[in-house]
Amino acid sequence: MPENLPDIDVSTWAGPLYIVLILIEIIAIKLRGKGGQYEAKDAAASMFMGAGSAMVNAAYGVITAAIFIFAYNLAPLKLPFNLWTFLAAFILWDFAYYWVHRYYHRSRWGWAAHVIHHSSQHYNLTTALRQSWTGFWSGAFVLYIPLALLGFHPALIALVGGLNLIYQFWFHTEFIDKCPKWFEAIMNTPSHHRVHHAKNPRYLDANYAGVFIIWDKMFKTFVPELKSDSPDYGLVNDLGTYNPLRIFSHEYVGVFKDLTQPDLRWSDRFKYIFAPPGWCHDGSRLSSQQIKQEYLQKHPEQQGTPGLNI
Amino acid sequence: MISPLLILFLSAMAAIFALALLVAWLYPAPNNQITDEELKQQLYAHGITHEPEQILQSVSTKEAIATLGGTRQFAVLRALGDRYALRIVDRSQITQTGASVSINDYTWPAFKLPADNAEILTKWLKSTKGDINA
Repeated sequence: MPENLPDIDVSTWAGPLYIVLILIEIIAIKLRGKGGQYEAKDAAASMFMGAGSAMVNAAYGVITAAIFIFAYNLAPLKLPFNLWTFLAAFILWDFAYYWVHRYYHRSRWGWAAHVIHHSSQHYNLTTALRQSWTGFWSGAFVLYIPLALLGFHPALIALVGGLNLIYQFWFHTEFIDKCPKWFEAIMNTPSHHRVHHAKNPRYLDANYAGVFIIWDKMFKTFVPELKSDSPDYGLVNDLGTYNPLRIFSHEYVGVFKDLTQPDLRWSDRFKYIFAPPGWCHDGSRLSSQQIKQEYLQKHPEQQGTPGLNI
Repeated sequence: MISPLLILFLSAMAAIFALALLVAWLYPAPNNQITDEELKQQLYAHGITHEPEQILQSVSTKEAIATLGGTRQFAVLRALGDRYALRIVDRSQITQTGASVSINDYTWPAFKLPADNAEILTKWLKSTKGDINA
């Protein structure tokens, strides 16, 4: 470990910080009378999912740390720790996060892990805690391995990964409408991320960014929040339960049911695991692209508006 | 090693419980009962243009099932706190055991209908089965 790399475990102070900010939001919304909504069972389920995720990820952290140390040892160049390598690692992690997040939404195996985060019909700070318990099994962490191969120390990678996650906490709120224009242009904000959590057809599969919204703008997945189309949060098929075990496992159960149907081709079984969510062999379900197309058939005047350029 | 983890877990559970109590106190969940009007509104909000024909409320009034006009499908609505969840299902997805109704959805607990509504549902299911066989 580089000598001057601070030994910071961001997760130790993230928990209390989250609790304080949630408390502030709960009271602030009540006092203001607008800017979000809370529901006790929903909030409890979200926070329980967060606690479960932290425990599970702590366990898998041992394995991922070993993998990153192995990759780092293969790196021909070991980078020192300084302000520049910290900034480079932070930006590169966020770039990798964009693709990890896009994979979570565009492959059902990734979605099965990530759907937990989108399963609330509310959008408040507790929603940020509704995190996956199976992120490790999604395999997405391999997209961060190039950082270790580039010579960034695994402890630095863990630090920027933790900071990235902490940044993503604050924008899960309706309490903040818009940030200053320059900030909205570069950074991920509550407005941009509300779009990401919405199930309105125009907002599906948009705004995958973690910290910098510029990745979405670069790779054509950015959709601005429109006043004329308020975000409607949750899943296309909302869950009928608050049971954390069912929230965590429902998409895996769905995958299993689909791929064990009789008389399927092997290619179809493969697609039930890895094709975009909503794909099916008999046309009985819709993918996000098909939902957008169906919406445009009903509302042709919306063709060409943000999120509906198909 | 286990002891600090256990303390951490118990502290997290205590914090979750305390925050949930605060939310329940400040934002009491509305006692949503599914009315005919609410079901129609939810169908409309989900872009479903078929009108519900007859609507059957569950014992708890937190669920309702309705036939959709012009289709062989059923709309099933569940009130979840201040929100709703909706499913459009085929007859083949519905299992009725006496007054208990399941839509064979992993995230959707079975619900109970009052005896008279359960009888009506049995008739619906028989009649739509006949339609399919025909």
